[in-house]
Amino acid sequence: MLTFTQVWNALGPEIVLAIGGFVAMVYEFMVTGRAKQATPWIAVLSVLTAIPLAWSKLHAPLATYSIAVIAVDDFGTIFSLFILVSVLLVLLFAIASQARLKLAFEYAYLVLFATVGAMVICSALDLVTLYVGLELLSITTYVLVALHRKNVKSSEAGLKYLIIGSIASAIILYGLSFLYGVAGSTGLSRIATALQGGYGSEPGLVYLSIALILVGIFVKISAAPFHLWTADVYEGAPTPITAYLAVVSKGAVLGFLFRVIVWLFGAKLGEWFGLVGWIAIITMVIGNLGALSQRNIKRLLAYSSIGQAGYLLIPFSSLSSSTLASVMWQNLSSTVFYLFAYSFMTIGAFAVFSVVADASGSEDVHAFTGLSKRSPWLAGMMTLFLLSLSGLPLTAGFFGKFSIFLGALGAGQIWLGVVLFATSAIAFYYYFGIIRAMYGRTQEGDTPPVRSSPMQHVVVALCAIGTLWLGIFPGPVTDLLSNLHWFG
Amino acid sequence: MAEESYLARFLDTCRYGGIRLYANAFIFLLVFLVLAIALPIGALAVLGPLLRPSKPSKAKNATYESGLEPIGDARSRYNVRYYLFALMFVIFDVEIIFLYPWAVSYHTLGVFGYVEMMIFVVLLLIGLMYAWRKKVLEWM
Repeated sequence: MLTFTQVWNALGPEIVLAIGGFVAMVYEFMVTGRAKQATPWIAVLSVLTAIPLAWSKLHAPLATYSIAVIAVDDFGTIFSLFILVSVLLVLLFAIASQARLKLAFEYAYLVLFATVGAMVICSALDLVTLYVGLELLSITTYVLVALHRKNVKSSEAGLKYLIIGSIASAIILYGLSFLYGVAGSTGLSRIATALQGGYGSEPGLVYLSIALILVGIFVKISAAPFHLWTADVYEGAPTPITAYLAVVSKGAVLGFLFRVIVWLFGAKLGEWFGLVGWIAIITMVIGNLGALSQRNIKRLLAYSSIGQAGYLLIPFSSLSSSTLASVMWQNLSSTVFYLFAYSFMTIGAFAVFSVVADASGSEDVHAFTGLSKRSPWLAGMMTLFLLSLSGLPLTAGFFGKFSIFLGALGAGQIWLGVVLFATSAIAFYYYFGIIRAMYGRTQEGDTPPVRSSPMQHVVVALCAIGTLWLGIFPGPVTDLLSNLHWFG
Repeated sequence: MAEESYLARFLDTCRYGGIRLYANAFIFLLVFLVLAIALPIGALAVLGPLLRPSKPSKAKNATYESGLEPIGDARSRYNVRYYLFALMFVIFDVEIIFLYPWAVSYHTLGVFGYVEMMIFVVLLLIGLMYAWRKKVLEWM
């Protein structure tokens, strides 16, 4: 029988976040007027409580709670930590831009509930629990995207995301249902046993099931042939929510991919690496070429995040092409390292963009014209984030891409690494367009100086510290990652 | 002999369960699907016209509205506010679905089940309070 201690050991951080969410909810609807502004801080507080809790679970002995269908392993914990750090940054970012965005305060607890879903995805060991976590993440983000419901673009984005997202969820569920049909159980370990480490007695149905799960996941992480919703949704959503979608939502679904596919098929995944590799290549090329023609920075960053999804698929492809355990651990740690880097640089870029767009009332590249004169500090920070996104040395992005490249090399997939660097060169071209606008051109006429609040500077500075730290001193983080016992 | 082999095959299916049982379930589904489509079509579109006399008149073809003269369009519009009440109703409807089985097996579930169910009920209560404070329950 399950005890309360077991539940707490398995789901401590998630419980803290859920309680924080409900406290924020009750607070938000009970108080009136200016007191409502404290609501997001309750959310920040619960995330700050959850981070040490999740940290203390690292290196804890593997435990699976059969009735709770949750595993406590380092894979789930490190993904939870990535999610928590990103959510903290997103919440601070949302608080900082509250003065202009005037978001409904519901966002504070909706973000927390979505985060609980994201964390459950990464540590659940049962198809039903996994799917419930996925839906918790999806449904709350549909609402978050349409938070500005009087704004036409926001509601359009919300509707598009709702339709595409729920179709993707349905496809994933259909795929999972075949797994249940073949194995007769929803527990991942029991399914793995029933499939005898391969495709079991019914390879056709298992193939169909993997194909459906992969398609649904590719939609959710906006991999290339399924990316068409991304630019519209990212553009219409309030900017902090866009950052949330780009970082947390994508990272968590990637965790789902690793958990389900690696746990179930392990080394037998070899036949799929070619397909995933091609999807990664198409995603990198389409994402980066698509960004070339974008004038709107939010759409540009959306296409850039499609390209980043391609980079993040490389480790998955390399990992499935080899049966060596060391290759698997190396690729898992390069994924997590890149996710941390991606989180800092993407949220940072969105934060600077939000300040600049706020000052000039435009989301166009021209909003950045002459930023080096108007606000040298913000221009410098934006340059840092863009250089990191394009993967120049001394930034987190470079080290992340380098370790992904090494992972691909270790698995013998040199061609994936080559495409990675070729598309990064393309990416540098369009990021350089923004840098040139900031430093090169002089401003005609006078534009108001960029006004920014201390809070916005704090968010930008935190992201910059993260980006530089992971770029210059990656040692501690890579050591931590290489010492993890991923799946126990 | 024939019966025996069918029986053996049936037992075999039961014993080795798994995928054959899974496929069989879909065969039943297919049979139901075909019946569900074929029966109404057969009754209404094939057998009906053959059996019934066909003598239409203006009064017979008119829309039936409790014996009164039909007025206006058949499609009438509802206030969109009903939607919120319907949504609230569904939440509490689902709550009952969970509460009944819990109440039946209360003794086997014990304290853990009790606390779990209380958490569930309190969460729904918070949802109701949210709706109340956001003026969902007020008509105007």
